[in-house]
Amino acid sequence: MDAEGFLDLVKKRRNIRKFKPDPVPDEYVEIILEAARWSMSGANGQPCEYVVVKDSDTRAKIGEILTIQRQRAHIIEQTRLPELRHPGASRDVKGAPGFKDAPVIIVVCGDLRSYQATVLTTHFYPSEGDTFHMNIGNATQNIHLAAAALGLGAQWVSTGLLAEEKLKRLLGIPEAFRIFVIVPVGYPAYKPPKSYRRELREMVHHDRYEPSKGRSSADVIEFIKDLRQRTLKSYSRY
Amino acid sequence: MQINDFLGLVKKRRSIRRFKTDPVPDSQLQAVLDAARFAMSGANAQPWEFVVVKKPELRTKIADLLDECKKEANLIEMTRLPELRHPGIGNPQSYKNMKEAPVMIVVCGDPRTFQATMLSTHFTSGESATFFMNLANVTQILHLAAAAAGLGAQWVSVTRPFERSLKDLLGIPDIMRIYVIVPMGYPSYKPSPSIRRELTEMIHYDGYDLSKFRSDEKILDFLRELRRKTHTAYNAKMIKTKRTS
Repeated sequence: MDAEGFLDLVKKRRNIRKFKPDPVPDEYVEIILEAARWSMSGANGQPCEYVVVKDSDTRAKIGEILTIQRQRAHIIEQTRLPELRHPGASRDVKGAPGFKDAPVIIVVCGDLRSYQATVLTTHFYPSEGDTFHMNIGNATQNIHLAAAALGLGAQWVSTGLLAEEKLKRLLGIPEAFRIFVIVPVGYPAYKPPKSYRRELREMVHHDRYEPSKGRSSADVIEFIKDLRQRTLKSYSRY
Repeated sequence: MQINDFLGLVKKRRSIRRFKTDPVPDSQLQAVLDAARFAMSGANAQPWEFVVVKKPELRTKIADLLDECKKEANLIEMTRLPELRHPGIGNPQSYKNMKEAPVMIVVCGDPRTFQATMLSTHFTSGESATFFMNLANVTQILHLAAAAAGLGAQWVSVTRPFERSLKDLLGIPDIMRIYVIVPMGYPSYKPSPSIRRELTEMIHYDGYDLSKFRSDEKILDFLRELRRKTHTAYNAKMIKTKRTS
Protein backbone atom coordinates (compact mmCIF):
# COMPACT_ATOMS: atom_id res chain seq x y z
CA MET A 1 0.00 0.00 0.00
CA ASP A 2 1.52 3.30 -1.00
CA ALA A 3 1.23 6.66 0.77
CA GLU A 4 -1.81 7.75 -1.22
CA GLY A 5 -3.60 4.46 -0.65
CA PHE A 6 -2.95 4.68 3.07
CA LEU A 7 -4.15 8.28 3.26
CA ASP A 8 -7.34 7.20 1.48
CA LEU A 9 -7.87 4.45 4.00
CA VAL A 10 -7.40 6.64 7.09
CA LYS A 11 -9.80 9.23 5.70
CA LYS A 12 -12.38 6.66 4.69
CA ARG A 13 -12.47 4.96 8.10
CA ARG A 14 -15.41 6.20 10.18
CA ASN A 15 -16.81 5.16 13.53
CA ILE A 16 -20.03 3.29 12.75
CA ARG A 17 -22.76 3.31 15.36
CA LYS A 18 -25.49 1.22 13.73
CA PHE A 19 -25.07 -2.08 11.95
CA LYS A 20 -26.95 -4.47 9.73
CA PRO A 21 -27.50 -7.83 11.42
CA ASP A 22 -25.91 -9.60 8.41
CA PRO A 23 -23.16 -11.96 9.60
CA VAL A 24 -19.52 -11.21 8.88
CA PRO A 25 -17.52 -14.09 7.38
CA ASP A 26 -15.22 -15.74 9.94
CA GLU A 27 -12.34 -15.18 7.58
CA TYR A 28 -12.85 -11.40 7.78
CA VAL A 29 -12.63 -11.40 11.56
CA GLU A 30 -9.38 -13.34 11.40
CA ILE A 31 -7.98 -10.91 8.86
CA ILE A 32 -8.90 -7.96 11.08
CA LEU A 33 -7.14 -9.59 14.02
CA GLU A 34 -4.16 -10.42 11.86
CA ALA A 35 -3.80 -6.67 11.28
CA ALA A 36 -4.10 -6.11 15.04
CA ARG A 37 -1.46 -8.75 15.64
CA TRP A 38 1.09 -6.73 13.66
CA SER A 39 0.44 -3.53 15.61
CA MET A 40 3.29 -2.01 17.60
CA SER A 41 3.94 -2.68 21.27
CA GLY A 42 6.69 -1.56 23.64
CA ALA A 43 9.62 -3.97 23.44
CA ASN A 44 7.33 -6.13 21.27
CA GLY A 45 5.62 -7.32 24.44
CA GLN A 46 2.38 -8.06 22.50
CA PRO A 47 -0.02 -7.91 25.44
CA CYS A 48 -3.23 -8.13 23.41
CA GLU A 49 -5.63 -11.03 23.19
CA TYR A 50 -9.09 -10.85 21.66
CA VAL A 51 -12.39 -12.40 22.69
CA VAL A 52 -14.54 -12.60 19.56
CA VAL A 53 -18.18 -12.68 20.62
CA LYS A 54 -20.73 -13.91 18.09
CA ASP A 55 -23.22 -15.70 20.34
CA SER A 56 -26.38 -13.55 20.38
CA ASP A 57 -27.14 -13.99 24.10
CA THR A 58 -23.63 -12.98 25.07
CA ARG A 59 -23.77 -9.99 22.75
CA ALA A 60 -27.05 -8.95 24.34
CA LYS A 61 -25.48 -9.21 27.81
CA ILE A 62 -22.56 -7.08 26.67
CA GLY A 63 -25.11 -4.58 25.42
CA GLU A 64 -26.74 -4.50 28.87
CA ILE A 65 -23.40 -3.83 30.55
CA LEU A 66 -22.74 -0.91 28.22
CA THR A 67 -26.27 0.45 28.65
CA ILE A 68 -25.70 0.74 32.41
CA GLN A 69 -22.45 2.58 31.72
CA ARG A 70 -24.19 4.93 29.31
CA GLN A 71 -27.00 5.66 31.75
CA ARG A 72 -24.49 6.79 34.36
CA ALA A 73 -22.67 8.82 31.72
CA HIS A 74 -25.91 10.52 30.76
CA ILE A 75 -26.72 11.59 34.32
CA ILE A 76 -23.29 13.10 34.84
CA GLU A 77 -23.23 14.72 31.39
CA GLN A 78 -26.37 16.69 32.23
CA THR A 79 -24.32 18.69 34.75
CA ARG A 80 -22.62 20.42 31.84
CA LEU A 81 -23.85 23.35 29.79
CA PRO A 82 -25.89 21.97 26.84
CA GLU A 83 -23.48 23.24 24.18
CA LEU A 84 -20.62 21.27 25.76
CA ARG A 85 -22.35 17.96 26.32
CA HIS A 86 -20.99 14.91 24.54
CA PRO A 87 -23.64 14.00 21.93
CA GLY A 88 -23.41 10.31 22.76
CA ALA A 89 -24.44 10.95 26.37
CA SER A 90 -26.88 13.78 25.85
CA ARG A 91 -29.96 11.74 25.13
CA ASP A 92 -31.51 9.57 27.78
CA VAL A 93 -30.63 5.95 27.27
CA LYS A 94 -33.39 3.41 26.89
CA GLY A 95 -32.87 -0.08 25.67
CA ALA A 96 -29.95 -1.65 23.91
CA PRO A 97 -27.01 0.34 22.57
CA GLY A 98 -26.83 1.43 18.94
CA PHE A 99 -24.41 -1.37 18.13
CA LYS A 100 -26.86 -4.09 19.23
CA ASP A 101 -27.25 -5.51 15.72
CA ALA A 102 -23.52 -5.90 15.10
CA PRO A 103 -23.00 -9.64 14.43
CA VAL A 104 -19.67 -9.69 16.21
CA ILE A 105 -18.05 -7.82 19.08
CA ILE A 106 -14.28 -7.94 19.58
CA VAL A 107 -13.29 -7.51 23.22
CA VAL A 108 -9.69 -6.27 23.33
CA CYS A 109 -7.80 -7.57 26.38
CA GLY A 110 -4.33 -6.60 27.53
CA ASP A 111 -2.21 -8.99 29.59
CA LEU A 112 -0.54 -6.92 32.33
CA ARG A 113 2.22 -9.47 32.75
CA SER A 114 3.55 -8.90 29.23
CA TYR A 115 4.38 -5.42 30.41
CA GLN A 116 7.53 -6.93 31.92
CA ALA A 117 8.93 -6.74 28.40
CA THR A 118 9.61 -3.02 28.69
CA VAL A 119 12.61 -1.56 30.52
CA LEU A 120 12.32 -1.61 34.30
CA THR A 121 12.43 2.18 34.58
CA THR A 122 9.00 2.28 32.93
CA HIS A 123 7.64 0.60 36.03
CA PHE A 124 9.63 2.33 38.74
CA TYR A 125 9.77 5.86 37.41
CA PRO A 126 6.46 7.37 36.35
CA SER A 127 6.36 8.46 32.74
CA GLU A 128 3.81 10.47 30.91
CA GLY A 129 1.94 8.12 28.67
CA ASP A 130 1.50 4.60 29.87
CA THR A 131 2.96 2.23 27.29
CA PHE A 132 0.55 -0.49 28.36
CA HIS A 133 -2.47 1.61 27.37
CA MET A 134 -0.74 2.70 24.18
CA ASN A 135 -0.14 -0.87 23.07
CA ILE A 136 -3.86 -1.53 23.32
CA GLY A 137 -4.59 1.67 21.42
CA ASN A 138 -2.29 0.58 18.60
CA ALA A 139 -4.00 -2.78 18.23
CA THR A 140 -7.45 -1.22 18.33
CA GLN A 141 -6.56 1.43 15.76
CA ASN A 142 -5.37 -1.33 13.43
CA ILE A 143 -8.62 -3.25 13.99
CA HIS A 144 -10.54 -0.20 12.81
CA LEU A 145 -8.34 0.36 9.76
CA ALA A 146 -8.54 -3.28 8.73
CA ALA A 147 -12.33 -3.27 9.09
CA ALA A 148 -12.50 -0.16 6.90
CA ALA A 149 -10.21 -1.80 4.33
CA LEU A 150 -12.67 -4.72 4.19
CA GLY A 151 -15.63 -2.40 3.71
CA LEU A 152 -16.91 -3.15 7.21
CA GLY A 153 -17.84 -0.74 9.97
CA ALA A 154 -16.48 -0.72 13.50
CA GLN A 155 -16.99 1.38 16.64
CA TRP A 156 -14.54 2.28 19.38
CA VAL A 157 -16.54 1.65 22.56
CA SER A 158 -14.54 2.62 25.64
CA THR A 159 -15.24 0.63 28.79
CA GLY A 160 -14.95 2.10 32.28
CA LEU A 161 -13.78 0.16 35.35
CA LEU A 162 -17.21 -1.17 36.29
CA ALA A 163 -18.03 -2.37 32.79
CA GLU A 164 -14.59 -3.98 32.66
CA GLU A 165 -15.25 -6.01 35.82
CA LYS A 166 -18.61 -7.22 34.50
CA LEU A 167 -17.17 -8.12 31.09
CA LYS A 168 -14.39 -10.15 32.66
CA ARG A 169 -16.91 -12.08 34.72
CA LEU A 170 -19.26 -12.60 31.77
CA LEU A 171 -16.53 -13.86 29.45
CA GLY A 172 -14.36 -15.68 31.98
CA ILE A 173 -11.39 -13.41 31.32
CA PRO A 174 -8.59 -13.95 33.85
CA GLU A 175 -7.61 -11.26 36.36
CA ALA A 176 -4.27 -10.65 34.67
CA PHE A 177 -6.06 -8.85 31.85
CA ARG A 178 -7.30 -5.28 31.54
CA ILE A 179 -10.06 -4.19 29.16
CA PHE A 180 -10.39 -0.62 27.95
CA VAL A 181 -12.29 -1.00 24.71
CA ILE A 182 -14.67 -3.27 22.82
CA VAL A 183 -15.21 -3.11 19.07
CA PRO A 184 -18.53 -4.06 17.49
CA VAL A 185 -17.93 -4.97 13.84
CA GLY A 186 -20.38 -5.44 10.99
CA TYR A 187 -21.84 -4.00 7.82
CA PRO A 188 -22.77 -0.34 8.31
CA ALA A 189 -26.52 0.35 8.33
CA TYR A 190 -25.99 3.86 7.00
CA LYS A 191 -23.56 6.09 5.18
CA PRO A 192 -21.72 8.24 7.72
CA PRO A 193 -20.87 11.90 7.13
CA LYS A 194 -17.29 12.79 6.25
CA SER A 195 -14.58 12.84 8.85
CA TYR A 196 -13.76 16.15 10.53
CA ARG A 197 -10.27 17.05 11.69
CA ARG A 198 -8.39 20.20 12.68
CA GLU A 199 -6.22 21.66 9.93
CA LEU A 200 -2.73 20.24 9.68
CA ARG A 201 -1.04 23.63 9.97
CA GLU A 202 -2.76 24.26 13.33
CA MET A 203 -0.99 21.29 14.88
CA VAL A 204 2.44 21.33 13.28
CA HIS A 205 5.29 23.39 14.75
CA HIS A 206 8.67 23.75 13.05
CA ASP A 207 11.75 23.15 15.19
CA ARG A 208 10.21 24.93 18.16
CA TYR A 209 6.71 25.22 19.54
CA GLU A 210 5.08 28.19 17.82
CA PRO A 211 3.33 30.27 20.52
CA SER A 212 1.00 31.80 17.92
CA LYS A 213 -0.51 28.33 17.48
CA GLY A 214 -0.82 27.71 21.22
CA ARG A 215 -4.41 27.58 22.42
CA SER A 216 -5.48 29.20 25.66
CA SER A 217 -7.75 27.18 27.97
CA ALA A 218 -10.66 29.34 26.77
CA ASP A 219 -9.69 28.53 23.16
CA VAL A 220 -9.87 24.82 23.95
CA ILE A 221 -13.38 25.20 25.34
CA GLU A 222 -14.39 27.08 22.17
CA PHE A 223 -12.88 24.23 20.15
CA ILE A 224 -15.07 21.75 22.00
CA LYS A 225 -18.20 23.85 21.46
CA ASP A 226 -17.38 24.00 17.75
CA LEU A 227 -16.61 20.27 17.73
CA ARG A 228 -20.03 19.50 19.16
CA GLN A 229 -21.71 21.46 16.36
CA ARG A 230 -19.70 19.74 13.65
CA THR A 231 -19.88 16.20 14.96
CA LEU A 232 -23.48 16.02 16.16
CA LYS A 233 -24.51 14.26 12.95
CA SER A 234 -21.92 11.51 13.45
CA TYR A 235 -23.58 10.47 16.67
CA SER A 236 -27.13 10.33 15.31
CA ARG A 237 -28.01 6.97 13.91
CA TYR A 238 -29.41 6.85 10.42
CA MET B 1 -8.03 -5.38 -2.73
CA GLN B 2 -7.47 -2.71 -0.10
CA ILE B 3 -7.28 -5.16 2.81
CA ASN B 4 -4.40 -7.11 1.25
CA ASP B 5 -2.51 -3.89 0.69
CA PHE B 6 -3.15 -2.84 4.29
CA LEU B 7 -2.06 -6.21 5.69
CA GLY B 8 1.06 -5.98 3.57
CA LEU B 9 1.76 -2.58 5.03
CA VAL B 10 1.36 -3.56 8.70
CA LYS B 11 3.68 -6.52 8.21
CA LYS B 12 6.27 -4.54 6.28
CA ARG B 13 6.48 -1.73 8.86
CA ARG B 14 9.55 -2.11 11.05
CA SER B 15 11.02 0.06 13.76
CA ILE B 16 14.13 1.59 12.24
CA ARG B 17 17.04 2.57 14.44
CA ARG B 18 19.63 3.73 11.93
CA PHE B 19 19.01 6.25 9.21
CA LYS B 20 20.68 7.78 6.19
CA THR B 21 21.31 11.49 6.61
CA ASP B 22 19.40 12.26 3.39
CA PRO B 23 16.66 14.80 4.11
CA VAL B 24 13.00 13.89 3.79
CA PRO B 25 11.22 16.07 1.21
CA ASP B 26 8.73 18.46 2.83
CA SER B 27 5.93 17.15 0.65
CA GLN B 28 6.47 13.63 1.97
CA LEU B 29 6.62 14.82 5.56
CA GLN B 30 3.41 16.79 5.11
CA ALA B 31 1.71 13.74 3.61
CA VAL B 32 2.75 11.58 6.57
CA LEU B 33 1.46 14.15 9.09
CA ASP B 34 -1.70 14.61 7.05
CA ALA B 35 -2.47 10.91 7.40
CA ALA B 36 -1.65 10.98 11.11
CA ARG B 37 -4.29 13.60 11.92
CA PHE B 38 -7.00 11.18 10.82
CA ALA B 39 -6.19 8.94 13.75
CA MET B 40 -9.03 8.16 16.13
CA SER B 41 -9.50 9.97 19.41
CA GLY B 42 -12.18 9.84 22.09
CA ALA B 43 -14.94 12.29 21.21
CA ASN B 44 -12.73 13.40 18.31
CA ALA B 45 -10.76 15.48 20.81
CA GLN B 46 -7.60 15.38 18.63
CA PRO B 47 -5.23 16.14 21.50
CA TRP B 48 -2.09 15.90 19.38
CA GLU B 49 0.34 18.53 18.20
CA PHE B 50 3.64 17.87 16.49
CA VAL B 51 6.94 19.67 16.87
CA VAL B 52 8.85 18.74 13.74
CA VAL B 53 12.55 19.13 14.45
CA LYS B 54 14.94 19.37 11.52
CA LYS B 55 17.70 21.74 12.78
CA PRO B 56 20.84 19.60 13.22
CA GLU B 57 21.91 21.25 16.47
CA LEU B 58 18.48 20.61 18.01
CA ARG B 59 18.42 17.00 16.88
CA THR B 60 21.89 16.47 18.35
CA LYS B 61 20.80 18.03 21.62
CA ILE B 62 17.70 15.80 21.78
CA ALA B 63 19.79 12.68 21.15
CA ASP B 64 22.31 13.79 23.79
CA LEU B 65 19.52 14.38 26.32
CA LEU B 66 18.12 10.93 25.65
CA ASP B 67 21.55 9.45 26.10
CA GLU B 68 21.76 11.05 29.54
CA CYS B 69 18.41 9.57 30.59
CA LYS B 70 19.48 6.26 29.22
CA LYS B 71 22.29 5.99 31.76
CA GLU B 72 19.69 5.81 34.52
CA ALA B 73 17.60 3.27 32.61
CA ASN B 74 20.71 1.22 31.96
CA LEU B 75 21.64 1.15 35.63
CA ILE B 76 18.22 -0.16 36.62
CA GLU B 77 17.99 -2.61 33.72
CA MET B 78 21.26 -4.21 34.77
CA THR B 79 19.56 -5.34 38.00
CA ARG B 80 17.71 -7.90 35.92
CA LEU B 81 18.99 -11.29 34.93
CA PRO B 82 20.88 -10.94 31.64
CA GLU B 83 18.47 -13.04 29.58
CA LEU B 84 15.56 -10.77 30.52
CA ARG B 85 17.17 -7.40 29.92
CA HIS B 86 15.73 -5.11 27.26
CA PRO B 87 18.14 -5.37 24.30
CA GLY B 88 18.07 -1.66 23.50
CA ILE B 89 19.42 -0.62 26.87
CA GLY B 90 22.74 -2.40 26.69
CA ASN B 91 23.59 -0.83 23.36
CA PRO B 92 25.68 2.33 23.72
CA GLN B 93 25.10 3.28 20.10
CA SER B 94 21.34 3.48 19.93
CA TYR B 95 20.73 7.11 20.79
CA LYS B 96 23.79 8.27 18.96
CA ASN B 97 22.27 6.68 15.87
CA MET B 98 19.19 8.81 16.38
CA LYS B 99 21.18 11.93 15.48
CA GLU B 100 21.44 10.68 11.91
CA ALA B 101 17.68 10.88 11.39
CA PRO B 102 17.01 13.99 9.28
CA VAL B 103 13.83 14.75 11.17
CA MET B 104 12.39 14.05 14.62
CA ILE B 105 8.69 14.40 15.26
CA VAL B 106 7.92 15.22 18.88
CA VAL B 107 4.36 14.09 19.60
CA CYS B 108 2.67 16.25 22.22
CA GLY B 109 -0.78 15.92 23.77
CA ASP B 110 -2.97 18.69 25.15
CA PRO B 111 -4.76 17.24 28.20
CA ARG B 112 -7.30 20.09 28.17
CA THR B 113 -8.86 18.66 25.00
CA PHE B 114 -9.82 15.69 27.09
CA GLN B 115 -12.78 17.77 28.22
CA ALA B 116 -14.32 16.64 24.93
CA THR B 117 -15.01 13.19 26.32
CA MET B 118 -17.94 12.41 28.59
CA LEU B 119 -17.52 13.74 32.14
CA SER B 120 -18.17 10.28 33.56
CA THR B 121 -14.91 9.12 31.99
CA HIS B 122 -13.07 11.34 34.42
CA PHE B 123 -15.07 10.54 37.54
CA THR B 124 -15.75 6.83 37.33
CA SER B 125 -13.26 5.27 34.95
CA GLY B 126 -10.41 5.31 37.37
CA GLU B 127 -7.84 6.41 34.85
CA SER B 128 -7.41 8.34 31.65
CA ALA B 129 -6.66 5.34 29.47
CA THR B 130 -8.36 6.99 26.52
CA PHE B 131 -5.99 9.94 26.56
CA PHE B 132 -2.93 7.69 26.26
CA MET B 133 -4.64 5.55 23.65
CA ASN B 134 -5.38 8.62 21.53
CA LEU B 135 -1.71 9.51 21.46
CA ALA B 136 -0.93 5.91 20.58
CA ASN B 137 -3.38 5.97 17.69
CA VAL B 138 -1.74 8.99 16.11
CA THR B 139 1.73 7.54 16.65
CA GLN B 140 0.82 4.15 15.18
CA ILE B 141 -0.64 5.86 12.13
CA LEU B 142 2.45 8.06 11.84
CA HIS B 143 4.53 4.88 11.66
CA LEU B 144 2.26 3.24 9.09
CA ALA B 145 2.16 6.38 6.95
CA ALA B 146 5.95 6.56 7.06
CA ALA B 147 6.23 2.92 6.02
CA ALA B 148 3.78 3.53 3.17
CA ALA B 149 6.03 6.38 1.99
CA GLY B 150 9.12 4.15 2.11
CA LEU B 151 10.44 5.87 5.22
CA GLY B 152 11.63 4.37 8.48
CA ALA B 153 10.54 5.50 11.93
CA GLN B 154 11.15 4.59 15.57
CA TRP B 155 8.92 4.83 18.65
CA VAL B 156 11.00 6.51 21.37
CA SER B 157 9.07 6.82 24.64
CA VAL B 158 9.60 9.91 26.76
CA THR B 159 10.03 9.74 30.54
CA ARG B 160 9.39 12.63 32.93
CA PRO B 161 12.96 13.91 33.44
CA PHE B 162 13.47 13.88 29.71
CA GLU B 163 10.13 15.59 29.10
CA ARG B 164 11.16 18.53 31.29
CA SER B 165 14.41 19.08 29.35
CA LEU B 166 12.63 18.71 26.04
CA LYS B 167 10.03 21.32 26.94
CA ASP B 168 12.80 23.75 27.86
CA LEU B 169 14.70 23.02 24.66
CA LEU B 170 11.75 23.35 22.29
CA GLY B 171 9.65 25.95 24.11
CA ILE B 172 6.74 23.57 24.56
CA PRO B 173 4.16 24.96 27.03
CA ASP B 174 3.98 23.34 30.46
CA ILE B 175 0.38 22.23 30.01
CA MET B 176 1.30 20.00 27.07
CA ARG B 177 2.49 16.49 27.68
CA ILE B 178 5.14 14.85 25.56
CA TYR B 179 4.68 11.18 24.91
CA VAL B 180 6.82 10.01 22.12
CA ILE B 181 9.57 11.12 19.80
CA VAL B 182 9.54 9.68 16.31
CA PRO B 183 12.85 9.94 14.47
CA MET B 184 12.12 9.51 10.80
CA GLY B 185 14.13 9.13 7.63
CA TYR B 186 15.39 6.69 5.04
CA PRO B 187 16.54 3.42 6.61
CA SER B 188 20.27 2.78 6.26
CA TYR B 189 19.82 -0.98 6.52
CA LYS B 190 17.41 -3.74 5.70
CA PRO B 191 15.68 -4.77 8.93
CA SER B 192 15.04 -8.36 9.89
CA PRO B 193 11.43 -9.55 9.43
CA SER B 194 8.91 -8.70 12.11
CA ILE B 195 7.98 -11.37 14.61
CA ARG B 196 4.72 -11.86 16.45
CA ARG B 197 2.98 -14.49 18.54
CA GLU B 198 0.75 -16.83 16.55
CA LEU B 199 -2.73 -15.53 15.81
CA THR B 200 -4.42 -18.65 17.23
CA GLU B 201 -2.76 -18.05 20.60
CA MET B 202 -4.48 -14.71 21.02
CA ILE B 203 -8.02 -15.28 19.72
CA HIS B 204 -10.85 -16.63 21.86
CA TYR B 205 -14.41 -17.31 20.69
CA ASP B 206 -17.42 -16.24 22.76
CA GLY B 207 -15.53 -16.59 26.03
CA TYR B 208 -11.92 -16.71 27.19
CA ASP B 209 -10.36 -20.07 26.36
CA LEU B 210 -8.46 -20.97 29.53
CA SER B 211 -6.35 -23.55 27.73
CA LYS B 212 -4.68 -20.58 26.02
CA PHE B 213 -4.02 -18.72 29.25
CA ARG B 214 -0.29 -18.49 29.90
CA SER B 215 0.96 -19.14 33.42
CA ASP B 216 3.27 -16.54 34.99
CA GLU B 217 6.18 -18.86 34.25
CA LYS B 218 5.13 -19.17 30.63
CA ILE B 219 5.13 -15.37 30.37
CA LEU B 220 8.74 -15.33 31.50
CA ASP B 221 9.57 -18.03 28.97
CA PHE B 222 7.93 -15.85 26.32
CA LEU B 223 10.10 -12.92 27.43
CA ARG B 224 13.32 -14.90 27.30
CA GLU B 225 12.48 -16.13 23.83
CA LEU B 226 11.49 -12.62 22.76
CA ARG B 227 14.86 -11.24 23.89
CA ARG B 228 16.66 -13.90 21.88
CA LYS B 229 14.62 -13.22 18.78
CA THR B 230 14.61 -9.44 18.88
CA HIS B 231 18.20 -8.78 19.81
CA THR B 232 19.23 -8.07 16.23
CA ALA B 233 16.42 -5.57 15.72
CA TYR B 234 17.90 -3.35 18.44
CA ASN B 235 21.48 -3.76 17.40
CA ALA B 236 21.21 -3.29 13.69
CA LYS B 237 24.47 -3.63 11.90
CA MET B 238 24.90 -1.42 8.91
CA ILE B 239 24.32 -3.43 5.80
CA LYS B 240 26.07 -1.86 2.86
CA THR B 241 23.69 -1.68 -0.07
CA LYS B 242 25.08 -1.74 -3.61
CA ARG B 243 24.77 1.63 -5.27
CA THR B 244 23.44 1.63 -8.80
CA SER B 245 25.25 4.15 -10.96
